Amino acid sequence: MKTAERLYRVLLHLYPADHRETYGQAMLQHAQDLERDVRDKGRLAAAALYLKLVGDGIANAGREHWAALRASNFDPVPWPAVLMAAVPGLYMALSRRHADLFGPALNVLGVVYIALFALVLPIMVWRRRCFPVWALLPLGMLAWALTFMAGTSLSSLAGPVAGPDLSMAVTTILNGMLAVGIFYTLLRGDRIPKSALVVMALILLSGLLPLVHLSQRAPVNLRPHEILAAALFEPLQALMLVAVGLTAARRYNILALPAVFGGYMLLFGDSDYLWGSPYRDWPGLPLYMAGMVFLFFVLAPAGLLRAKTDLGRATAVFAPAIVFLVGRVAVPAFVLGEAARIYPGEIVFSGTILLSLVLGWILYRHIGRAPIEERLERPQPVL
Amino acid sequence: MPGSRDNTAQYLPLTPSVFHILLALADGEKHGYAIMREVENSTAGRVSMGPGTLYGAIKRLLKSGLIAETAERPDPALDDARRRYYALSGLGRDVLAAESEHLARMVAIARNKNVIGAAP
Repeated sequence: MKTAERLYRVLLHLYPADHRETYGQAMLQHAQDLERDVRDKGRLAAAALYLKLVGDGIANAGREHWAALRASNFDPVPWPAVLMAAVPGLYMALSRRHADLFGPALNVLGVVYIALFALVLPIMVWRRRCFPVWALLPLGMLAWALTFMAGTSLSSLAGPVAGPDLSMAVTTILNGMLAVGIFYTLLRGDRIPKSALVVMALILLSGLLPLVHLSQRAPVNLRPHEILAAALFEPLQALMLVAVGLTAARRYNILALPAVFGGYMLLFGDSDYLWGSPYRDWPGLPLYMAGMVFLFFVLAPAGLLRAKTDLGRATAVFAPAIVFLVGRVAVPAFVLGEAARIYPGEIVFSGTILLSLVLGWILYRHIGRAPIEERLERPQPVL
Repeated sequence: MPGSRDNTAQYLPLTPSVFHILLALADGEKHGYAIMREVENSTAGRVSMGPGTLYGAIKRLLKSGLIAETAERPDPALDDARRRYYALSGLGRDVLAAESEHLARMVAIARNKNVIGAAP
């Protein structure tokens, strides 16, 4: 193999996979032809060609990725469905605010919502012979809540010695089993992208970092199952949510992210920092909360479900997460002037969630490249 | 053909690289490298396309239906099997004609205004 071809073979990895698969061989042949042209023109001409190939490869790979992201592939989900998808998040916001102002949370409304959801959903599925798109978001949230409830219930079987640590350990094991089971079922026979494996490893590692930090500050006297639970609780939870999202992707083809997003809303929604709890005395708190609620529970679902392109979907999912993560550091450091309030554990956890979104995105793109025949056999999502 | 004109209008004006690729295919099907060679020759080396640029443009031209990949291949003994051959579609020929006419009109105006010399 000649140098130009070897060089371009490496550069091809920068291109979107479908472009590489369709035109890769022809592009390698082209690079080889170009090298043949300069064969008798000396080393300088060859070096100039290699430089030109590198520039061509990098610039056009970026252009192809951008074009793929901007390709209009999806029909926007109707507005009523977008509103339905926003309901659980808005309820959560209302309930948190109510609890802050008046004490008790609005649990009754939540129970009513879940009851209605459980009642209406089977009827809709039965009547329309399909799963409504908007329901993927609450389902993602429910999937998260259900393993938590199952963990609590199972640990209580252990009797009076059971405490929050055992409950956490059982939930961790359940999340891990679910994640592994779903990933195995979904990706069996598929070659998982290396980037996805790297991100998965980072997610799992991210669980250990806060533990290391804690052990440096004070001696940690934990039993093995407690250490395991503390290290893996959040990473496995994140992986499980990605897996749930991908189940939706396999079944509904275009909608890999909403179910992940359902969990993502809850994971961020569960964070005290989203609600500004640590900033109680800050006068800007109401504005901060209103902004976060709008960003996460209105703008993000609307953007995700109405987007016609992958770029729109990526923006809808990643932009609120990035704003939150930046705010998480910027508010205590620059607005409140209390950098000490930046807790490493919280930062790492936020990073875990961001990584889980990245993983969801990589696998979403991977699954989206399934052979067209296979995709056509799948039922298409409708309202 | 008025209908044909309506169809072509949405593709105009063409970018220089697209115009040159379509022009290169006007006299018959070619593979990517032959297209690039012809473009380089016809522009005296001013337009030069690497593999990324060329196949990016080809991908978009295929998608818009201005060119088509041809199934016929020369004898494998005479050519590399990795090459892909392309030909102008009917729409591509109409678009190329419309752009060429537009450019010819611009050249005529430039000539009338003595921006360039008279045709030899």
